[in-house]
Amino acid sequence: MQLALDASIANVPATERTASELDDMDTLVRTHRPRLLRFVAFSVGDADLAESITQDCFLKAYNARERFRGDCSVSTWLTSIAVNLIRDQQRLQKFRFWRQARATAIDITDAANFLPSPESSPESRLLVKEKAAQVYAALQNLSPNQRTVFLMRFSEDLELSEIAAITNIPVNTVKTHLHRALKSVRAQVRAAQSATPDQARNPKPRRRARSSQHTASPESHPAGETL
Amino acid sequence: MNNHPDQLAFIAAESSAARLTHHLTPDQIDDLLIGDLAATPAAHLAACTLCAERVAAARSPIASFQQVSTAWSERRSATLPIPIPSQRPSWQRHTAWATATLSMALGFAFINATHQFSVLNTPQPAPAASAQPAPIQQPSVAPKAPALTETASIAPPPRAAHSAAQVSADNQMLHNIDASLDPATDSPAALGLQSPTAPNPGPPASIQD
Repeated sequence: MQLALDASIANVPATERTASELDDMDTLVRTHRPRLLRFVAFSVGDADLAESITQDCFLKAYNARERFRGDCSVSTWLTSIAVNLIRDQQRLQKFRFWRQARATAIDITDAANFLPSPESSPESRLLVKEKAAQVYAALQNLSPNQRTVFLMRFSEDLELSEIAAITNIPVNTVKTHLHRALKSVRAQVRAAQSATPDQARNPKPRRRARSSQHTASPESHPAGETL
Repeated sequence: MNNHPDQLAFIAAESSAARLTHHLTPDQIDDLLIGDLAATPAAHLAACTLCAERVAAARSPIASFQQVSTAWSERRSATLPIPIPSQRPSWQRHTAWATATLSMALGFAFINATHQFSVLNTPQPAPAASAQPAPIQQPSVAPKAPALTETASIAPPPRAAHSAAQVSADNQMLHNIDASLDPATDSPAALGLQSPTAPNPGPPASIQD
């Protein structure tokens, strides 16, 4: 019976399968929302803005489902819609706003608390958290194109040809962006890793130490890096 | 210059050794992470543990970032409500509303009809029976009292036959009331306070004093 079902599914053309997948909005959102939200959120750096863009993305996909030809996967199609929406945001200069007032910025230390590895030790979890924070800090110094292709390749695990199709740029240009992004990220992570032991050995005197009335402030242990 | 076969074999062996001794450059490590590594460095990587460690060290922060970002997005998607547009067509919603309205109308009509049916089929009691007069103290007209009692104790006759009996009972009751309120029968003698033949003895002694 199961074989018969599989066979019947396999006989359905890919276009019909994807069309029905797009019709079922509930399943579409449940399947693709976490991945899409991750890409958008770490592209724009604002959790609430990412929610809004992700919602717009699904709405646009649902409204334009008749125009989906099925020549790529639904995931790739959704990502291309998200890329266009992010570009629209860049065009509207909204990034300038979130860089200055990131009220709903992603807290990487908070995000790392939900790592699904209960068997890992606290030390390894702390290490993972630290490395993730360093990479995200490095991502903020990349250009929008470099950040987009970096996230697509290393966060979404897309192939070079898929990235080229989504972003509408040649594969060689995608490679160039990726090389530059990797160089920058690796250099910044290396610098952060080498700076951490130096800071531990020679901690900088805090500016608040000038005013003795703030010595009991709880801010003497700042929270984790906010992305 | 002709190369001797031995020389060619030597060159090939040297290049192979160079492949093993020349470790991957940072650019080649980037190529590997990107997924665009050539065959020669890939062969070296398969044999060189040092380069494998370098690749793992370069891949580790990115893998950590991917792990944390995935955990964040899954957590965020699991906790936030997802507004999903309704998949039910509008004609189904309209049908549901019409069905609900029709059901309510039928329910009210049924309840009303049941109430009307019960009212029509219930035997109506006689008005005299339902409105029992208050008992009247009339000791001097005791023989007439049973008529009032009879009137009050009349069982409700059937609806078609009780109208004549009802009228006569009402007349009798009214007659009894008139008789009880008649001033002639309301004299002290009728009330039994004084003998009608005895002369007036005058006021009592207590009053005379």
